[in-house]
Amino acid sequence: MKNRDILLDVIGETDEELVPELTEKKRSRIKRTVIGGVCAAAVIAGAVTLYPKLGRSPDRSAGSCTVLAAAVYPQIPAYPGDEDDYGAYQAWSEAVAELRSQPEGYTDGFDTFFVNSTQVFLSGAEDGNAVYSPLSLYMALGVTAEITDGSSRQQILDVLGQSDIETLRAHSRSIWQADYMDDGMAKCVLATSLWTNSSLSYRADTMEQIAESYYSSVYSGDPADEGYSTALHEWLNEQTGELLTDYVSGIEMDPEMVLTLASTVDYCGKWVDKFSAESTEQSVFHAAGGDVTCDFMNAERDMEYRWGESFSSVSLPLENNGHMKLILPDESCSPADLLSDTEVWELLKSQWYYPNSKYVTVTLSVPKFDVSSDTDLREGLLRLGVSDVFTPDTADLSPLTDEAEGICLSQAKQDTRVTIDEDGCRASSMTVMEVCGEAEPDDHAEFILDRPFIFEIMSAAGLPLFVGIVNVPV
Amino acid sequence: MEDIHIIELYWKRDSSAITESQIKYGSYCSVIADNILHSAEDTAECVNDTWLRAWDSMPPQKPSRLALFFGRITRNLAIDRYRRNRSQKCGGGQTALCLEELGECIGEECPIEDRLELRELLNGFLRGLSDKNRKVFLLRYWYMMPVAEIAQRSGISEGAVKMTLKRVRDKLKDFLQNEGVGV
Repeated sequence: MKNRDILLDVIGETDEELVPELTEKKRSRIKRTVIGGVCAAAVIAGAVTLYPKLGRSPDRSAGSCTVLAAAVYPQIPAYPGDEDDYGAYQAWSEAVAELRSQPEGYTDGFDTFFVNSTQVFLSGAEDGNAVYSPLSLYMALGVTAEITDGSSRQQILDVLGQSDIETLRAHSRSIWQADYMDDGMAKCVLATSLWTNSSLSYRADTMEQIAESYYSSVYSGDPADEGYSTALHEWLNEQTGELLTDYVSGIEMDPEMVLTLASTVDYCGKWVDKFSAESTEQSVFHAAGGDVTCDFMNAERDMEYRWGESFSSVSLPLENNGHMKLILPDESCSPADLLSDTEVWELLKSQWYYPNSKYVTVTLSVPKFDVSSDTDLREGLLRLGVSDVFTPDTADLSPLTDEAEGICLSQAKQDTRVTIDEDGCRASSMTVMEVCGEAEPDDHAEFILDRPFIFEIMSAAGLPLFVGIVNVPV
Repeated sequence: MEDIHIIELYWKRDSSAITESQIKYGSYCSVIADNILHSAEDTAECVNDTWLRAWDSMPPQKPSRLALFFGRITRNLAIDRYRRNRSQKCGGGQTALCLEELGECIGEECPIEDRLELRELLNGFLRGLSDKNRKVFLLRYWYMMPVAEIAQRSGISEGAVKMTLKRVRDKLKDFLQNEGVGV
């Protein structure tokens, strides 16, 4: 052991009366901010709509929208400001710790689903952008498994890597809780709702189970009533922080629908180390379809730099809300090529540990981006082996309603949007470069994202909320 | 719960001692571990291990300052973990920077064999510092706190913190050289 290591150890043995205590103040590395959106993302894995095989005549006498079950979310105390006392910080910390503390093994099976489904839903993004939310689809499929039975359910359990419906239920509830965050500073809310047709009767036990295990709300109304569609739009806009209003306005409730399942993720985080707007400059991004000019956020930071055979990567931490990984392929390959690289998957699945990494000074240049995609999930789910539920002759939706004959899932879409910017330019210009002290690391790396790349937003619990390929930043 | 009652629970071998420790000192120890490791996962494990280590230590120990007792255990566990991580090349917050800064204070020509002697020397050195300088030095090298946070807690600029640290390190370097430590 070197003498400086010994000195560090011995400093830890300093006489107690000399060591200051910290209990009078909370940790102050994280500053209170208002939700704004340096890194905002939202997804609707919804409009999973069930239709009868033949047209029905809905009962138009029903009211516009009745709440059958309303999801009750856990309460997290507001993140305390700098002037608040240590007790307030402790109350916040304990509430978050309780939600993150879930039974061992609650993510079993998720990695397989994540890898398989992401390879399917991000493939084919040669020129355009592709964004996918594995967690949102997981929850939507979980609810779909609840309303199906027989081989329809088994196919879903297989793709989710779950042995039975009870295990899926327990895992979904734990995943929901571990990823939930809404404390006035950071937000990550997985929301699900079921929109039923008031002319039909549904099995109450199934609806209660879904509300309980998936924090889902259940509504009833006449799909032919404009007010019911408006209620759905309002719910979607509210749950996605109005980030997807264009997509929401295009969702129409068919008068003949039996059930519409809407599953959303509303995510918003602030960089721990904000970018300075004064350092943002226009530069050229070498997009797949030709060069484009866009704003690049620039900084030089001491940080973990990771690499593989064909890529390099850095992670940008978000205050109390996980982090964003950025993965830049070598010039010889594309982001799509990397989707078959086992090293990339090792990195995408890991929360912190990755073998090829080093703490160095990184010259960072990241384009501001605003990317979205509108994915038809049906074809991808068929490729993953979920087929029976799409066909009236094979779909078994008996847990949903006794009038299930001839019903199938006709539509499954996911609309996703992710934006990042430097945020808080006035505040960031003060602090960005000085946090790590005056020591200069021996090594230096450049991380210039001026060509197509992969990103991933990982939740604080270590699960992938969003993953995407940026071929054109704006 | 009062510290004395938490210590009593440890002495009675009542496992609620661990729950009470987590409630009262969980976030305090997390700050220390996170400064060293900069990893939520490693920090959580270190803090959990702290209560187990405390369980093994009480009895026979009866700490006079429980916060520092736990904090010291967390610090040691986190530094051990940091060293293991470093050997596997996975990084670690402020610790690498602190080590590098402390490297300015001590030579590597002659390996230190008597830690007890170094401890006494260091206690003497720290007692000779002003309260303000000692606090800044220990916030940095006991708690591994980032310079920006020390500045915020102390109500001085980051530049002033850096300058204070530099002066104390220079002073420590001269002190240790005069005592023949590491040279």
